Amino acid sequence: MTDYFRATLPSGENPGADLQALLRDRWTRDVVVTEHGARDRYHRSFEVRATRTDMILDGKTGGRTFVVSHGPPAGIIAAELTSKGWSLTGPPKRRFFAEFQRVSTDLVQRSENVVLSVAHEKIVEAPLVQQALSPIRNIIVWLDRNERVDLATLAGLRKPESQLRKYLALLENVQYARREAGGWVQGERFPTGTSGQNPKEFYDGMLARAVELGFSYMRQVIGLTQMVGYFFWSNSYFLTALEANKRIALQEDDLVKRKARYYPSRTQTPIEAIGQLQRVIDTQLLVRDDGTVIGDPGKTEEYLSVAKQNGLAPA
Amino acid sequence: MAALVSADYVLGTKCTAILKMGDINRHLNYRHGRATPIGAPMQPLFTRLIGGHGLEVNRSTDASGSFEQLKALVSSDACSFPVVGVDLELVKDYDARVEIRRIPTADLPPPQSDHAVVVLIANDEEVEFFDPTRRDIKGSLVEERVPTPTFLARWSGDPIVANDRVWFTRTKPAARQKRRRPRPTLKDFAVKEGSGQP
Repeated sequence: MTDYFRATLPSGENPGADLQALLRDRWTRDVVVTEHGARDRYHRSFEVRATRTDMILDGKTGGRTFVVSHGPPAGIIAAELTSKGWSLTGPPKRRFFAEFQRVSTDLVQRSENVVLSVAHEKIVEAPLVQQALSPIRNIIVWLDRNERVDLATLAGLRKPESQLRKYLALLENVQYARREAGGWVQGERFPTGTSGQNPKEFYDGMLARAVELGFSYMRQVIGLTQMVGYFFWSNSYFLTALEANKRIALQEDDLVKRKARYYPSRTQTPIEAIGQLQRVIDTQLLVRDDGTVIGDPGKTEEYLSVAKQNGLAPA
Repeated sequence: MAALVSADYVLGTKCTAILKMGDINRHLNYRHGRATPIGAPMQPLFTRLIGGHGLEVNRSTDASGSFEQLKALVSSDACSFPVVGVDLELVKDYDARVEIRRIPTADLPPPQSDHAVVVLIANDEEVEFFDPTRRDIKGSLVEERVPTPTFLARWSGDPIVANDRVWFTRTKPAARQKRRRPRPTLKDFAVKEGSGQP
């Protein structure tokens, strides 16, 4: 396998257009080539980027929205005019395709952060998530009642010490706990004055914030993978809404296909998929409507607004 | 896939009974959600695959006499229905509910995209075709038609390759030489098309 791209084009006036035609013929129709710079009339360079077309079908009306967008530059190909024509050199094809893919993955991950910021309260309502977060919740409750906790007390959670330390690291990170004299006490952001609040709302609010700020740590270090499926389904819907630029009703099989595209490495059997999607519907972040799945109106609006503020755009 | 379905019906091959969508996509170099390269149908990877099923790929982008050839292809018993590349704007010509959002990027012209349809009938008044992305809300596929001048403007104005057309012929003689040409129904396309991607 060659580790570079090399080609020769006729010595015409517009090597950029010829290069674009060549790449569309050999690599993919979804590329666009633009001039990057010219040192002199014999040396020029061109940026290669992907264009992407997505079709979203409104599950209620049958209306289609096609979204066409450019990605950022994925690489540069240099052109030198020689006696044989324009001699082109650049990174290998696979590196361009990896970059095209990275841009898509980056969008998915940035959207995850937006979903977390707008839907963390809904996420912690899911029974599965409640169960997964139960030890963390217990530590929060203990700290609220006793203002201090140590590892000897936490041994009562019947978890390995290494796992307990991960929970505490998370709580330290969101400033609900801080180390003090061989134990942990309430951190700077631990809310005070709980007497007037419903305890469930109070503790769920704290957990929601922990999820919002510490989701990556929960997923990758603590290993709370039970929440991940819930989260991926939510994000797949909201990313579709972002592409369509509106709250859109999706047929369930369409959402299944879109989720498989956004998260290609997470293959699921149909029975797993339907079960996970139902958990999102149970919390009413998404709702079933006349045979389709559609986002909660308030949360979808909020997501679209925050996504735009963060500069998220289809890529 | 839709073109291969039509090849199976018209030419009596069994490509789509054996090949899966994933096989075809892989041999057309469809990767990471990016559209296939323009030249993919003529590449050995794909021609060998379908050659093994008794089919040969043909392609032309020649502008002169292109519509006359298209009419001939559509009515011929010796080839599949042709797949043509068209400007994506064609979808708005026959479906007023379609929205095309072109996300602008600074210093670049609006992003362009082409589209592919299978032409079923072509005459001087209108062109009827099958668009794999078009379904009614119950999931049924629908035949579409536009006036011929509209079709020609979109075909010759395809931003990627103007007048592009691809069709299949047989490499081996059909088992029965004088077959009556069966016309594929929309139901046939629905069964084979699967994902609805062009």
